Amino acid sequence: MESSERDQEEATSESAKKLQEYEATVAQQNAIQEEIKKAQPLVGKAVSPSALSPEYTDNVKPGFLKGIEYLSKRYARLRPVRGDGNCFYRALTFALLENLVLKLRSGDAAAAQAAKAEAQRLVDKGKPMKESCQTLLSLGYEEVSFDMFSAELLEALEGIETTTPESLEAKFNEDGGSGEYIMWFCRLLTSAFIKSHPSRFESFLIGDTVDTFCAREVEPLGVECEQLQIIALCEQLDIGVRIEYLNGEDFDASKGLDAVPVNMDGRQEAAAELLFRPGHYDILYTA
Amino acid sequence: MASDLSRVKKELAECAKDTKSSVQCVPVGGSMTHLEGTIKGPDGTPFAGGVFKIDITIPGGYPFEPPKMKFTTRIWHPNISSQTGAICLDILKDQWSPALTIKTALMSLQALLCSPEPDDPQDAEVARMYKDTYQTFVQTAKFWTETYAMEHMGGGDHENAIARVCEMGFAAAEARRALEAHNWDEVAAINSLLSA
Repeated sequence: MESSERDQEEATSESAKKLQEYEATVAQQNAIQEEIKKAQPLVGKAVSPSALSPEYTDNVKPGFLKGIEYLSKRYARLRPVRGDGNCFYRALTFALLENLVLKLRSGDAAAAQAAKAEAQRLVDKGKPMKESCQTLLSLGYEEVSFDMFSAELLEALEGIETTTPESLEAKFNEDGGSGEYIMWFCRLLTSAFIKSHPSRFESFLIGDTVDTFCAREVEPLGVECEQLQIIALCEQLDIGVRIEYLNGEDFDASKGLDAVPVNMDGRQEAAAELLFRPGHYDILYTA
Repeated sequence: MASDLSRVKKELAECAKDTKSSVQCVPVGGSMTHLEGTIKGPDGTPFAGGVFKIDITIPGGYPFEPPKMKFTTRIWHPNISSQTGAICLDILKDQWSPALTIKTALMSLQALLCSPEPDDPQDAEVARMYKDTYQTFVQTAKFWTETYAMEHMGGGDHENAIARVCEMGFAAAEARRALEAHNWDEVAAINSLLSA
């Protein structure tokens, strides 16, 4: 009896310890997240790509500074995006919408017309919005779990003509605001594509089904994405992106970095130009 | 747009429609931030026949943040604290996603009752018993289910007990409180009320 009481005490203190440890980890993670929140806006102001240099002055890999020099020649501006694990989805959705806004306001009638048509296409033609929502329902997602998110993207696209670059920036900079709803909905669109094309993806998912993969690696907030998610999202939206990879490896300055096209076959223009650095994505602008 | 309570409302409406579901969820009081979930113990498990109540708090960041859930009905399960009702389940922590709902989270809890994960325990003592002496675990879990998660005398009998105490001249609320405090022992409850 005595020993079993002791066992129980031990076990209780063991589980209490585990709980304490977990809570400490959560507290630490929250503290880090808070720091990031304070230091980095969700979507920052555009700066020259050379602004990245100070971060890499002491880096042992020579490719970083050389790469930044190359980027400064090739791109006019870089917009930093908060590094909270959602950066790819946020960078892509912001750049996609901002590109449309800038074209609509460029004074170039043809570009404006094209942007209007593109916004309309995203709303109702093909996969992007209406069909995607149908796909989600048929995959077993409950409407209540995504309708408020899809509504935000729909509203952003339908209101694109009255959106200014400033109002878009404000929309994306509200914590838990509309931009965050749009960003997460893009995670769900990524899932929608992966889950409706299991045979294309399953061979890349070691020990996972498309369902378990999406539940763990796509849908939770803050989970970083890999190439697979990027391809899936681009195909679901039927857009192309170009990504510069600045990973510190030495490179041939005459050739530049590897601007990797994703889903660009048959397209002239990328919906977004992004910069990848290990673990992070930002937005690039040629003009 | 912080804390989307309109989504909680919608979710509750959906839950209310589905009366046949083995998980239920209702608001506590008038607020949408405090809810009570109910799950039925799955058949073929030591929890069968039990009805388990879950205290649910909706955090400010919902649905970006997971609902906070804990068992208020005591339960003997490796992933649920036998002392506090705290739950160890990934989707209530870092694997939460806004694609999940309160209902799907409750269904995941039900699934957890079907397949405990003793290697990732919340309650080390229960987990040890589960792994070392499985039959003892089953017996203990059944006993806890019968003791805490079933209305022994049937729901009506509690009401009858309250009615009998009320006949002694006490208000229903205080009668219920006293009976609960004395584990539905009418004599003890009446004595405590008389001596108060």
